[in-house]
Amino acid sequence: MDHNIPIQNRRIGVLINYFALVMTLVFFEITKYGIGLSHWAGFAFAGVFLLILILSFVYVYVNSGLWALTHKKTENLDERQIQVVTNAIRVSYSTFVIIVIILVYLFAILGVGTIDVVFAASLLYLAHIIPASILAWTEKEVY
Amino acid sequence: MISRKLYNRISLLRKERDISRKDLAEKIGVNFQTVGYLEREEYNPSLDLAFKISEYFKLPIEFIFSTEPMKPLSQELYDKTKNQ
Repeated sequence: MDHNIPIQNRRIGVLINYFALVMTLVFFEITKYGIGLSHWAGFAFAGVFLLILILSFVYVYVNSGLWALTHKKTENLDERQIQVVTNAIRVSYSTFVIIVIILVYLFAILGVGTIDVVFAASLLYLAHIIPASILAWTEKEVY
Repeated sequence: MISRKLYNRISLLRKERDISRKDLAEKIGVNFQTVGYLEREEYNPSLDLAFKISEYFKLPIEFIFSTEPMKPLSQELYDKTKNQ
């Protein structure tokens, strides 16, 4: 929580982070089902996007303190922080539910079967990252 | 619920007393960013926080907060002396 990250940089970071998450998942699934790419090329692309995901996560969420802010206990937050975090969690809850319902329907329609560990981990990551990304997108001042 | 905007003199009082945002935040028990939001009038404090601020500056709450834009202190002083 040391340096201020301008809102434009935060927003670009959020977009890169989501894009990297989707691309990591896409390349992992492509490799898993053996569509188009060779095994190693698929894993290499997935690895590159995973690295981008980690770097953008550290830049946008860890360095800004937003990850810590959205995971702190309520008694360690002041009244304004409680207000903004609660609002972000409220919005992210409904967003996450919609995403999960769409995925459930997609899985049912496409007949893909069960979800794998990478997909489950991505959903877990997404559930934790949405409140912080809402704050990264909206908060004027973040340290 | 959309609450109306509250105007305040926190920034002026803090600068007048030469204290940093961090120091004020520590005294009133909030994060220093919250002081910034208060000073820019982008956040309306709770009644409890408003009282804490008023107690810290040792000034009446209505002198620090208002529902109408604050007059400059010089103007207020001039109006007061003119009325006396």
